[in-house]
Amino acid sequence: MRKLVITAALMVLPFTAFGASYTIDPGHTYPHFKISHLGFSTMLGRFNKSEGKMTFDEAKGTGSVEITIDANSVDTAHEKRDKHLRSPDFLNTAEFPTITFKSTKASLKGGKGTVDGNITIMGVTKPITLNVTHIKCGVHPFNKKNVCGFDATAKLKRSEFGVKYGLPAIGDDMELIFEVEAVKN
Amino acid sequence: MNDLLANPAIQSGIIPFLVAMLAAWGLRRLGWFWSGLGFAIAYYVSVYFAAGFQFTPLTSTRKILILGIIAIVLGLAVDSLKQKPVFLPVIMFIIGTAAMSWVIWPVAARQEGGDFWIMLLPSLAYAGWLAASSESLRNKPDEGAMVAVALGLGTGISALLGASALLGQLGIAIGAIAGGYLVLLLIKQDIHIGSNFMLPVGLLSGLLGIAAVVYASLPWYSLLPLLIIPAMAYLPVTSGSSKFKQLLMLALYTIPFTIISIVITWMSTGSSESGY
Repeated sequence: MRKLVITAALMVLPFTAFGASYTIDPGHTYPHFKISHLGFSTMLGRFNKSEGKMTFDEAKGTGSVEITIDANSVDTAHEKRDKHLRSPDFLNTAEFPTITFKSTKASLKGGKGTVDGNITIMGVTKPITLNVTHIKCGVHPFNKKNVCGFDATAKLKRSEFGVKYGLPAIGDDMELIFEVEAVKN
Repeated sequence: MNDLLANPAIQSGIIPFLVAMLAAWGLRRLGWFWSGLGFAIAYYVSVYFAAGFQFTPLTSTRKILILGIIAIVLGLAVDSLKQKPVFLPVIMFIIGTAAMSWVIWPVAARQEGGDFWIMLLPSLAYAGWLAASSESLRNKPDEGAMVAVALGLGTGISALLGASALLGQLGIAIGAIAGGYLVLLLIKQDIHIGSNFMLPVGLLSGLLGIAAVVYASLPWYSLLPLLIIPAMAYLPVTSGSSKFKQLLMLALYTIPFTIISIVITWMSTGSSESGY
C-alpha cells in the first residue's frame, strides 16, 4: 500500500510541480522567421517540421517548452534559395540538422508573458527570450482532446551564431515567430 | 573601404592575387622554396576577409582551413628533405584520404549500409588523388601554377554556382593566387613553388570540392573533369618556345577541363541566381 502511494505520488509530481504535460502537434506548430532583404523588404520564411514537448500550469503561471526544429525543412517558397539556406553559407544543415530551443524560466499570466531559454543554432547556444503574446488552453472542438496553444516572438542576431553570409546587405537582425499547439498527454 | 573589403570578388580575387605576387616576389630572395610560401600568406589573408579566423564550433569548412595549414607545414617538411622517399605519392594519397575522412565523417557516419561506402570511398579517392598528383608537380613551377589555376577556379566557380558562396570563394582564392604566380613566371622571375605550395593546392581543392557535394548541393559529376587536370600537366610543352607560349600550351591542356566542370554545374543547377 505504501509502495502504491509513493508510486502514485511520483506520477502526480510532474503535474503538480510543472503543470500538465503536452506533446507538440507538428501539424500546427511552425517556427517562422523575418529578415531584411537588402533593406528593400522583409522576407518571411518558415521551418516546416518541428517537434517537442511543453508543460503549462495556468494557475501558477509557469511552464516549460522544448522545441526541436528540422533545419532542413526551411522554406521561403523559392527552391534555389532554400538550397542555399541549407548550405554552409547559412544553416549548414548537413552538419547541424536541428535548431533547438529549451526554456529555463517561464512567467505567464493573463494569456501572455515571457519564456526565457536557450536556442542552439549551428552548434552555438545563446540565451533568448520569447515574448508570448497569446495563450489558450481548452478542449479542441473537433477531436475533443485537451489542447494548449501559444504565439510568441523573439529577436536574435544571426551573426552571433556564426551565420555571417551576406552581411550587412542581408539583415543581421532576425525575428522569430512561433505558432505552437500541443496536445495534452 | 569596409564595403570594398566586404566584396567577395575583392576578398577572393583581387586580395589573394596581389598578396601572392608581392609575397612570392619578396620571398624568392630567400632562395630555396620560400617563394612557395606566398600561397600560405595570400590564402589565409583571403580567408581572414572571407570567413574570419574563428574555429569553434568546428564545422567542415573550418576543418578544411585547419587542414590547409597542416598541408603547408607538411609541404615544408617535404621540401626540407634532400632525398624524397620513392613512396612519397603514396604518403600524399594517404594524407588526402585521412583529411577527407575527418571533413566528411559527421555526414558519412549517418549513412547506412551501402550509402556509407558510396559516399566515403569516392570522396577519399578524389582527395587522395588530387593531393598526390598535385604534390608531384612541386618542381615544375609552370605546370604547378597552371594546375592550381585550373583546379582552384574549377572547384571554386562550380561550388559558387551549385552549392555555397563561401566554399566557392575559398576555391577561387586558390586560382587567384596561382594567377599571381603565373604573372611572375611570365615576367621570367625565378619563382619556385615546392610542396608547401602544391600540397595545399591539391588538398584544399579536393576537400572543398567534396565538401560542396556533401554539405551543399554540388552535383558529384561536376568534379569528374577536375580529376584529369594534374595529369594533363605532364603532357609535353615545346621547350624552345617562349614562356608565354609554354604557359599558353599548359592552359590549353588544363583549362578546358575547368570549363567543362563549370558548364556541367551550370547546366545542372540552372544559374547562380539564388533568390537574392
